[in-house]
Amino acid sequence: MKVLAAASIKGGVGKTATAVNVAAEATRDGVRVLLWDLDPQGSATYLLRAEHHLTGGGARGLVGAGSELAPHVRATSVPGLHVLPSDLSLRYLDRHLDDVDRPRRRLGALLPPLEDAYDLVVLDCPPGASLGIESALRATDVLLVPVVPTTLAMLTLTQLEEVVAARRRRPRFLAHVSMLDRRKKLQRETVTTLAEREDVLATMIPNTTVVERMGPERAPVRTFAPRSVATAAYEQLWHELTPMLWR
Amino acid sequence: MASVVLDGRREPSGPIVGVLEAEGIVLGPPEMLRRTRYDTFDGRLHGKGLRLEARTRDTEGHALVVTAGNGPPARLFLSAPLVPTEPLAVTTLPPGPLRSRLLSPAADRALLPQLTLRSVRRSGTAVDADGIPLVTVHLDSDLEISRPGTRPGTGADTTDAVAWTIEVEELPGRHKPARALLQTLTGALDTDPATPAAVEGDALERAALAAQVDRRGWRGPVRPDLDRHAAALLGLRAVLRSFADALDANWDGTVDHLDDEFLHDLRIAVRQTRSLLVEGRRILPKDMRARQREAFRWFGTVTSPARDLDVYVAGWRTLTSPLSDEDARALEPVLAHLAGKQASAHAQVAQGLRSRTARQLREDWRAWLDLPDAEVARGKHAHKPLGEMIGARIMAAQHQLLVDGRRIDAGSLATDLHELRKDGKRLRYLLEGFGHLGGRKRSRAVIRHLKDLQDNLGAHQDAEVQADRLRQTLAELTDVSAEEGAGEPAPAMLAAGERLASILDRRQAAERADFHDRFAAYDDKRARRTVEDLVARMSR
Repeated sequence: MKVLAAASIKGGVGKTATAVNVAAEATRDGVRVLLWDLDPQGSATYLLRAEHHLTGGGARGLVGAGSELAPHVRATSVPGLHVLPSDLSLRYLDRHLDDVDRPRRRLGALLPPLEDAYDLVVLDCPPGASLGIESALRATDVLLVPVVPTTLAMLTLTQLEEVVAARRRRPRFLAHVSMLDRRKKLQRETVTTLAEREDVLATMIPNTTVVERMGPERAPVRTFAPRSVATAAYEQLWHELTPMLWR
Repeated sequence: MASVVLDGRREPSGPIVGVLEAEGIVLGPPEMLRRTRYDTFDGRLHGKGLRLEARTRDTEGHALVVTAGNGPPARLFLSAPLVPTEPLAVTTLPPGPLRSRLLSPAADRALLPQLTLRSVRRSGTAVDADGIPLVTVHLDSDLEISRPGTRPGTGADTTDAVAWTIEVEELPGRHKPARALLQTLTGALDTDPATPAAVEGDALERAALAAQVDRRGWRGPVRPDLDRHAAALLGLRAVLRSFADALDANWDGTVDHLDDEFLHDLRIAVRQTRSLLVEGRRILPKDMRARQREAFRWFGTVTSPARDLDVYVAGWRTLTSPLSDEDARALEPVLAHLAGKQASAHAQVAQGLRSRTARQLREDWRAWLDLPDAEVARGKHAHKPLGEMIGARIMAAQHQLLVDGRRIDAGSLATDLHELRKDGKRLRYLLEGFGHLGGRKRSRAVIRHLKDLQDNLGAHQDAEVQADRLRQTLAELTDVSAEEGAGEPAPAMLAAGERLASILDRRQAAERADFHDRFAAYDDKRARRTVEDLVARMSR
């Protein structure tokens, strides 16, 4: 079982769209995917039509001693994709992690019982670089950072890189261009700079209304716009990621 | 996710569809489904709780599907169907989760088709208001089971087959709907005596049970229950029969070269048999013993070159791992040359084992093993207690090993160490076959101790053989180039080959340097005492 985390220090860069669409594309290759929504906003939970509610004590019950993830998992309308929903109690995740031994290893320690059930766990992380994020990164094989090609987003990319570099056990660090608007000169220039980096994937997700429609449609883009440019881009992104997860 | 199956031996009656529709499940149109179950010869996937099937379905196309217990299936979509009678190699699958899941248990063993189930499938899913599935049902009818080598729907394989199955798939967080539906179905079908209780599993597992597929696979020959007080001849014959079973079990896989392990296991059976024929002097009848020693020597000779090349080719990546990428690439023609020789060697093995000679030798051997004990000619000591006789052989083998080992010094040749390794093998086969007569725990401890020494001698021998083989192959390639008028082979290949040979020479020297300590540990007073105790208990 591999763990892919969609994370960024900056909010609003397309983490959830990446997590949900990559997860949906993976299922088309027969991969059994669990999307774990770690963001208390619960956008991925909403998009996959799951209830924004964690049974059995919320975040405390989720990461506390003796807890199990399996009872929280829910089926989705995408065959092969299951979701571990979030709820608002996850805003206190750091506090609950602080209460357990080895908090940075805690999220990873919850995954082995799911080894037989899933090939891929996609973590949809909240923005920031909190203890919860560090715990998620400890469990991660590949860290995927969506980057909007702007100066500030580039800055946060470097910051996250530093957070990862400071760790002894490091996930593979990869970035991809997100919400690209080719009409903007500054974005085009930034993309040129990004393209020089070895850890930036070739796939660029365009800034299209199709991705925004995920909200009202409550589904991955392929479900309601299978022939769209966005769907093709997410498919390509998944295919670019596959050999990096399983060599 | 769990899957539960109901089945029956009569065609599904109309009410099933009605019951499902009342539960909000409308079955889709019927479609042909073909599923072939695969596992290794020794059931490695089953042993790890995995199941592999190749599935062809009208709406899904072709896919390899892996399931673990009742977990959700993982798929690898294929552009064309697999031939349901042909083996599959995990290493030929593209990198991905399915390949990595299979690679660890199956390793280099071929995945062999065990049975194919054809059915007409109708599926339906109940969904909630948000379109989230609540429960999925598959109704399979017109079931037809075939096993490799039999035509579909013929033979005894299908007599116990079920006529239909209903699979109820339980989805995460949706246990209640699945359980409720199952209860409803069970209740609706309760009047039909041909409907057994619901069982965990699915149609393919039910078919495997019906077709009596041994899902655990080959687990080695059944070890005979030996009595140390019984006549030595009886004990030896029982053990020889178990070796013959191993030989038979691996015969066809070796002839067809399904994977390298068949030949490996067949050769172990041959070597063990040869060893026991040697140890059986004055127990086994003299004429038979002489004849069969010659026969098994022939089996050994016929199969030896192929096994050597299997080891070399399979271990090539490990062998060349100390080299730079550039050197490893430069040596690719060597690997290609060896792989070509390996294929020829296996063709010769197949030819040899298919020959009249092989058939005659095998039949003679089995005929002797199947003779009633009362009709078997006996050696002078055939009636003596097994424990006492084998104990004496173990002590003799141990003595020989210690004498030869103590003679090894700085001036000894590599062949001296090779001879010592043979002494060790002789002792090991005796211990593996009969050591438990003196106590399993004690026997295992002696074998473990001996293995430490054997590993050193084995690594020493392997390094020598590998270096020799490499230099020989480079010389052959040079000759081939000269014959073809292509001049000298690439200098990069020759240089890389010499670098690898030097590494192997150094490895051999390191093992040689380590030998003294390993042997001293084996020749330790306490270790020797353990062997003596074991033999004393065997002979009691």
